[in-house]
Amino acid sequence: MILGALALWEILVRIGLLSPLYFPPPTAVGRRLWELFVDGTYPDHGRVTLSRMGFGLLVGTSLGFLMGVAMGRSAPLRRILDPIIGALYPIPKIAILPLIMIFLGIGESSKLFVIALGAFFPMLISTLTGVIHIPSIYFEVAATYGSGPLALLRRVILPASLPTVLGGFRIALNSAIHITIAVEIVSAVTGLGSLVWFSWETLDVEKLYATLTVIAVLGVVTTHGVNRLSQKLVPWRT
Amino acid sequence: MTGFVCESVGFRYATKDGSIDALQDVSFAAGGHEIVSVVGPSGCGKTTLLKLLAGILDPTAGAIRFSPDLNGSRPKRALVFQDHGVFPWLTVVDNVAFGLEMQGVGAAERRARARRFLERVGLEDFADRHPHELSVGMRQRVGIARAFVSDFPILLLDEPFGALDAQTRLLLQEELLGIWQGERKLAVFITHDIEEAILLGDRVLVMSGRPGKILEEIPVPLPRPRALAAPDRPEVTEIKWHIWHHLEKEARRQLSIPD
Repeated sequence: MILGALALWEILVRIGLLSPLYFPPPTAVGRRLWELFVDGTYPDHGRVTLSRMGFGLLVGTSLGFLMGVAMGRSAPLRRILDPIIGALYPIPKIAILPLIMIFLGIGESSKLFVIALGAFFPMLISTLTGVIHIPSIYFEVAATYGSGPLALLRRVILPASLPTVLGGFRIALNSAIHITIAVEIVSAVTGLGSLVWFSWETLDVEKLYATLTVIAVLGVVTTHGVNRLSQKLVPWRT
Repeated sequence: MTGFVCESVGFRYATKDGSIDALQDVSFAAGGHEIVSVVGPSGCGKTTLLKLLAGILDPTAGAIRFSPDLNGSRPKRALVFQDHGVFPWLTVVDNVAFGLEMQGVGAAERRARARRFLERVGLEDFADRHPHELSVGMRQRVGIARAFVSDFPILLLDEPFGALDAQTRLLLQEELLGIWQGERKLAVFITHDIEEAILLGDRVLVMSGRPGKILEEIPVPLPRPRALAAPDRPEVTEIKWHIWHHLEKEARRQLSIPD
């Protein structure tokens, strides 16, 4: 299907129905992608993007998970924090980058902060939902057998909410990719997002398509990895 | 002797239309190695009573005293639930070993003890499966195994066979009688099934509809060990109809069937 569409695209450009100025032929994009891969451009910038994303994802989802558990188990905490989260979550995280840069400077830390924030909210909301919906009977079983708070977290809360938490992690991952690329477009000189912007500034359309392809592949590969991980971590059905 | 006394226990909970008395003035004592059956119409507060005994809820009136009670350290109670009481994320052996794990027993020892019990009841081939691979009846056996393996002196069973078909129920009643015969504990068995209450219990407490009260306490004159056919004797049939007359009114009211 995809190959067919690419072939059609190639033909339409070759016979002159599509302008290569807007739609460079897939073969040319592929060649360009290969060149930029071999000369180290994509590996170098890809590594930068991945490490920003990975760091933000790790910090954001960890804090999101912890806070989600805390809110899921404490009604007073939910009452206090729910409206605040409701107000902050819908703000596009990229829109607060300038504000964060005022506090943290224009270096790496403000970028990482915004990426972590993007991963934080979906993880928090999924964890909260997962924890709230744990059937009370599981807590009762644990209580009658004398579980302490740590055993309760490890043996009941974590596994019982895990399917929902992993769903949240997947959304957080996508959110982290979006925000990493966006942050790189507006304020970085390294990373795949910055390449997208440079390609535009130099009107290098082939490179633009090639870089977007790399980003898409990155998204597919990481999402696939998370899905595989989910199946491994959740071998049960409820 | 391990036991407890309920002294005028009441439980009231608030709803948006005011408060409801789930239990009122419930007094009875249990001790030693007996099985006390509690039978009553649905919604009579049987489960509430069991949760009070388990310590999940606290009475709003009266008190439950346990013995021995050494500075608040009461005999441990294992609760067996009607359904969904086993953890879907743990394998069968880890479910059975859960009580021991919470008591701080190391992994190797608790698994060995759980496996020994599973062998005894013929579930060893399912030790490493997850509950969703088991039938409902097998899951209930896992829940019961967990309660026995934890080796708590008091067993609280909340309609453990309520969701099972009649044949499965008979087999599991027989199995429970067999296990209990070997490891006698104090057990409170909640059920809405009159015959089950008689078959298992040394005494049957008959409860009324809401607010739940104890209408009568009936001793069951059957020797142990008991077999499934035990309740077929004429004097037991009499008890059965006696209990039924207590419950009939409430059952009719709930179904709007006139007397």
